[in-house]
Amino acid sequence: MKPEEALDEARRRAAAQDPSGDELEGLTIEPTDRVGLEQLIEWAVAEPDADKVRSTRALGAPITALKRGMVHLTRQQTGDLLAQQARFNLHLLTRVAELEERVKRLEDER
Amino acid sequence: MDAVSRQALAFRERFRSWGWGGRDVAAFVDPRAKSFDALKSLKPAPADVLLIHYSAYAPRLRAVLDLPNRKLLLSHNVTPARWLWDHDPPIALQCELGRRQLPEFAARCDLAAGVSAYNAAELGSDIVIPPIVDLAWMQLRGQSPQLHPSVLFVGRLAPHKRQDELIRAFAIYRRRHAPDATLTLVGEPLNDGYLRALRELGDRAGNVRFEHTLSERELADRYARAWVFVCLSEHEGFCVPLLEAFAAGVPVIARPSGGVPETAGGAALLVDDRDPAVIAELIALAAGDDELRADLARRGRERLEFYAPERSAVALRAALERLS
Repeated sequence: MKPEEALDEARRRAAAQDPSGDELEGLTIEPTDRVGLEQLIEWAVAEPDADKVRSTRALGAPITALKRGMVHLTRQQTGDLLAQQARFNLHLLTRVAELEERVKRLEDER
Repeated sequence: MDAVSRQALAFRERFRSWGWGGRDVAAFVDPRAKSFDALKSLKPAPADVLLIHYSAYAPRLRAVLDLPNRKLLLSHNVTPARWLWDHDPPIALQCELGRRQLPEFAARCDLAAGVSAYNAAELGSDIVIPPIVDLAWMQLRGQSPQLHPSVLFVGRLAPHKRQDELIRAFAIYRRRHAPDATLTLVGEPLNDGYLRALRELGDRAGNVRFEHTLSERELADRYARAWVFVCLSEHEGFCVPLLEAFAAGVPVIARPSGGVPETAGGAALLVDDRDPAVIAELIALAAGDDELRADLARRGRERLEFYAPERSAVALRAALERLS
């Protein structure tokens, strides 16, 4: 078979098969094209994953432990930082939501 | 080491062979990379030409652009953030900012080029400097034959590379054609969470292996044992693994995204279908049809000649000499 013929042949063979049982549950990936307000609100409150604090060096386990220890020791300050950022994010999003609503109302009235 | 750093080192080797001086600096230097200095140490002489490899957001690059030296920006492309927001927000943010700042940065350089015509066109340029890909390490492979069908992917384990679709297609291929087939995914994962989700999907499909940080010998061995190489990536600036598969004589199936059609030429089976059953049948054909395999292997060898390191080096030198 020539390479130019292979795709059509694959499509023909696929169409001739019974698709039952082809489904595989689990991870599905969808690109995020337009982020909705609900999604933004979810993202507004940052929840960093502690597992991501790690060393990429070879034999970096002690460095990972040290980093995680430092995260733990500074949790009061980082917690306060996150709370302040979340407060700003959520108030900003509320304003955006109000403005969206206002624009929509004005467009409807016109 | 990432692909862009490898390119910088390959370029450096060429510069030395031409009797040119200079050194390599980077905004973020991995402690394991010994050949790069910190960007802040950059103090070029007035006549020096700056070659900027661009592949991600780089805030510290603004200071470099302010330097009076002549500059060439080489775009390796930046992954669109739309594939990453749900899986790694900090990386997505870097990609979003990186894509936004790229046109501005390119405009501020004397010359902009891409590693493919696709990349160059994004910057309104027609200057192409393909990667210098030395595949001598492919000869390091072992001789152990692979008796069962083996499907291979090499590249970052990241959402836009669509390993999820490949696993689904492989599951169908295995069920319908080759229960003893294996799928090997070689690449650094985006993060632990993404790897975990992929592993769970792979466990459902069965016979899916994940590997990373392989030595050159080990990677050459994976290519040598592969029956088919499949890349369903949604975004590629060039896709060096295609050339590696060609060098190993492995039939390639790829999605025609970004720079892939240009790199593959007519040497790969390009498929844009979203139906995993079509991919599965294509894998079966590429694994089992001897005439098809031989034809693809011959075309792959021709494609390698097109991307011979010497040809890329000529393009690199020509671009830099335009600035001298």
